[in-house]
Amino acid sequence: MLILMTSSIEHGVTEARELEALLARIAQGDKDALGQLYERTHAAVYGFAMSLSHCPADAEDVLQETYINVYSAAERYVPKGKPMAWIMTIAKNLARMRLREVKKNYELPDEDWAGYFASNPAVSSDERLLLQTALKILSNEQKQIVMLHAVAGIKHREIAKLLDMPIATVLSKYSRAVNKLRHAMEAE
Amino acid sequence: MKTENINKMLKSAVSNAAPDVLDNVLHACDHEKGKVIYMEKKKNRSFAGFAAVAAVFVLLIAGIFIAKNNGFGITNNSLAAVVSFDVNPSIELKVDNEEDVISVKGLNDDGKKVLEGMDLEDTDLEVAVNAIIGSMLKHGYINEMANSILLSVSGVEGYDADALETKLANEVNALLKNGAVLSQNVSNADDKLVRLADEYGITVGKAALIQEIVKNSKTHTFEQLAGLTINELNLISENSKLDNIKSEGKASAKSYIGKDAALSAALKAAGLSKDQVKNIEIELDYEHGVMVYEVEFDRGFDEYSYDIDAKTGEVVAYDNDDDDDKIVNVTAEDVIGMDAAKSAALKHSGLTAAQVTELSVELDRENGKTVYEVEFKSAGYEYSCEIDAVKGTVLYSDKELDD
Repeated sequence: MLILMTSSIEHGVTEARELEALLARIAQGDKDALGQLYERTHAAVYGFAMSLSHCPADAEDVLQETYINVYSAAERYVPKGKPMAWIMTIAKNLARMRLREVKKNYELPDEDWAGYFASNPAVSSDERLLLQTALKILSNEQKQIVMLHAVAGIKHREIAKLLDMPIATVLSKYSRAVNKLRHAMEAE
Repeated sequence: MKTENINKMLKSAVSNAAPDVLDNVLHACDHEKGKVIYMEKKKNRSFAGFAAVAAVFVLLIAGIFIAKNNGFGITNNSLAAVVSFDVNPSIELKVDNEEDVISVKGLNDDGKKVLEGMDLEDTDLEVAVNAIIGSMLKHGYINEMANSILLSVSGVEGYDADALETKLANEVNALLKNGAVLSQNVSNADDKLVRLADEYGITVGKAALIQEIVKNSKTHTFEQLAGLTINELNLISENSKLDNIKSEGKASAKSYIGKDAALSAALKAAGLSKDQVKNIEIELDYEHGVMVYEVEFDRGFDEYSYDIDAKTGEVVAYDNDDDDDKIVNVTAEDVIGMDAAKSAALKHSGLTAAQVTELSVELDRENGKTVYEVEFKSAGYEYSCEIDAVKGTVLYSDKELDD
């Protein structure tokens, strides 16, 4: 177990270094590097974008705009070993800006997501169910935390910083969210 | 299903569901280098009070092309000072020691829009400032609803940045009859501040203002405030004294409901009338992601505090100090109350209040519903329960070993 953990930490460090190297190239205007960064990180960004958005179209826009902003802001990235957190900050700000535009507290019917997933043949029916359930039963904060941790692999400590929450809150919301998901999936 | 499996499946599901937008991104990037758009929000209305002033500036802008130094006299191109203007548009000017403009840059989308069609290089700084302020008025970035501007000057060693700051502040004050001008000398900004500004895509001047506000506040963080406009920041900072920043004029609060309406909303939520309470205090602030009026009053020994959404008048949060409860968020809906939520959760778990410890109740929004999240520990287990805040029904409950 201990060995496993160490290797996963080392993996994280290598990953961060590689992403930072890509960001440095992007800062020079290297679009191949942007493509590579996109390939490696866009699923994680999309997961977070989904948790921050009211509808599939918004999530897609946030995904797209995040990389456009990464491209233009890469030269201002200061390597601190947390490239994912930096990218997610951009995504978060974009999504918040969008939310401000949309009316506050506007709730989207679930069908929008359901239809969106159903039209995508790459998503299996189990996966579709899990995604729909997650988006439906979790609170906004729970969704964000689950996506950041489970999908993007960002540490709870960094999530706390990113979402401006005490770490204890992140941990408790995360465990409650996962339990809720588990119960819901078992009930299906 | 185990947690790891849930995570794994979720990861693969998201990965499969993610649309491929790389082509769009690459295409857009051809046009986007150097553009920073992710922090600011748009204010795009023009108001009568400022419109007349704006008209004058259109003429001034036209005059710039005559006033330019191009080809005449000696242009000294070594950098002496950097001047930045933040409203919501952020604009940075580099000037030499004869106060001629070396370069001008719009640091965000709005800033670029303000500069559109103007060629200010090699003009006299005063002319450039006139033109920029005029364009901001014309585009409606400065108006009766949002009248604040931040002016920051940073000089190279030996340059008298204070003098330039004072001179420009006076100028801008004179230009904006009903404006609110914040000004500062940021020549001594440290690396940390420059990094912060970089990270959030804002000017060092705006970062310095936010840092000052955060320093004087228990509740705000840099990140929360980075996305606000200068007018919002100016309103928030009215409650605290800022070192190094000079302030002229009063920030406009005209886009908000006003203190009287905020007080009425708070009293209504508390079920009290104005003559039942005393020590009323009302301040504008930024909490829970929105501009709020913080309304406080006392009734007997009880202290009430309400955060009222400054735009809608809704109750965003309240804190009632008559017992030990923490701050509780509420919405305008009729909720059953924390005690009822506690009872419902305990009843559902078959426990009494005496059998549990670390009981906490929090109001939250879940999937469009207002719920109480009740958590407590008992006999080595950690319980968590979600109660529909309106109906009082148990929506979800969970019990796990406390580790």
